[in-house]
Amino acid sequence: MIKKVFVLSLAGVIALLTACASQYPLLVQQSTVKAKELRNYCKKQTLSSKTISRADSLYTLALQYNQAGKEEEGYYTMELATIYYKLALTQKELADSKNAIKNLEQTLVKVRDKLDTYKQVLSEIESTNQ
Amino acid sequence: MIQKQYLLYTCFSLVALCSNGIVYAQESPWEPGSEVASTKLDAEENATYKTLDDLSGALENACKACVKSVSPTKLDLYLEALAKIAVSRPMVEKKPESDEARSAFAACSLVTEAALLQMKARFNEAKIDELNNEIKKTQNELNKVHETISFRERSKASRLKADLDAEKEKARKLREEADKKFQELQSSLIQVSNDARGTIISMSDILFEVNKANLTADLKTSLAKIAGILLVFKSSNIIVEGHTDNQGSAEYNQKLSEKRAENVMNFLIDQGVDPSRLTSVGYGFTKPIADNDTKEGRQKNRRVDLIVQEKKLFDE
Repeated sequence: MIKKVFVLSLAGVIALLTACASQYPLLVQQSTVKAKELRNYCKKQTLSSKTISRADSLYTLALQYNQAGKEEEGYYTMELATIYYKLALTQKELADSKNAIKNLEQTLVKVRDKLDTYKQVLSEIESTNQ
Repeated sequence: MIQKQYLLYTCFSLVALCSNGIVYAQESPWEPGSEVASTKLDAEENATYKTLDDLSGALENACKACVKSVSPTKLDLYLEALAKIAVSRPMVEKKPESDEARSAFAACSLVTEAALLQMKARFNEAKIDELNNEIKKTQNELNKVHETISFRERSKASRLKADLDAEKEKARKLREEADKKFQELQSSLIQVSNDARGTIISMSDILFEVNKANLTADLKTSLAKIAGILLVFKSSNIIVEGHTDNQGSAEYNQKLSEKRAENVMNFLIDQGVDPSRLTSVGYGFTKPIADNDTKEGRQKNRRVDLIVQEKKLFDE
């Protein structure tokens, strides 16, 4: 049993190392795909902020690096663009959640007020019946 | 260079994911959704950081602040930030003044900022759930109170309807009894009939002194009986109408009819009938019920009518 686990773990590590050994162009490609997906998603969400502008300019710069064969610079720039897109999405998410909380708090106040009124009406009805 | 970093990054992500469980399993001093936790997250979000230790410390503190209300699986940026800091650490510590180190630190700061914002957003999601639950709970309570009010109102309405029906039935019986007694007064000088206005008791002018408004003894006897009935049949109003034939001037007949109606009304008041139930009016010869060209017709037109109208309990 222990042997089996050991062999499987070893195989896993070897597979990981093998996978990484010749991934240099793949890394650039992956980071580009990831950044592009995030960029499209942000556009669908119609996000516009300084963060998005920064991300877009980094994305364009990264593509230029890649086209010029500067893959290392291209990779890091694209990674940075990805972080900026994520940051923009998170900023949007946070703003949405703050708005939702504000609306829900207002709703809660209204429902509680209504409840108080109803309780008062009920208490008046009960006192009238007695 | 890239390959080495990628390998380190991947491995560290795995390690961070595993060790994260330990972090989350620890007791947190902040309760989920509490203001303390929220303030703590805000403080981390607004702070400025100069070293990688500052960044990882900020992530750690923020993680502790929201650990009870946010699932670790929802904090992917937290793991990414930890991994990035770990990967960048050797370079940043070895050559802190190099461009690469500065870029790496900037990237770490950026991803940490995103991670902190994500934690705050997730923390808010937990608060949103709490608020939704609270609204639902309050709404349920509200519905129950509303149902109780409706039930009480329906019960009250039923009781009122039952009371009203009983009152109506009582009034109907009284009315029947009164009508029966009015019918007993029927004679050649007193006619009793019913129309849309109510019960009409029509008294001949023979019961008055000739060309005068004084009541004869016979009329007083009959009116006393009528007053007795009206005292029992309280849910009625009475209009006393005086009428004449067309013999003589209109002014004379008008005054005579008014005076006779008024005298009848006053007699009824003397007998104990509530004045607020009584009204008197004289019409002179303007409302004949028979032909004034014949003696019999004129006889019929000279009269005093009592119109007994039932009071309405409610507008139906």
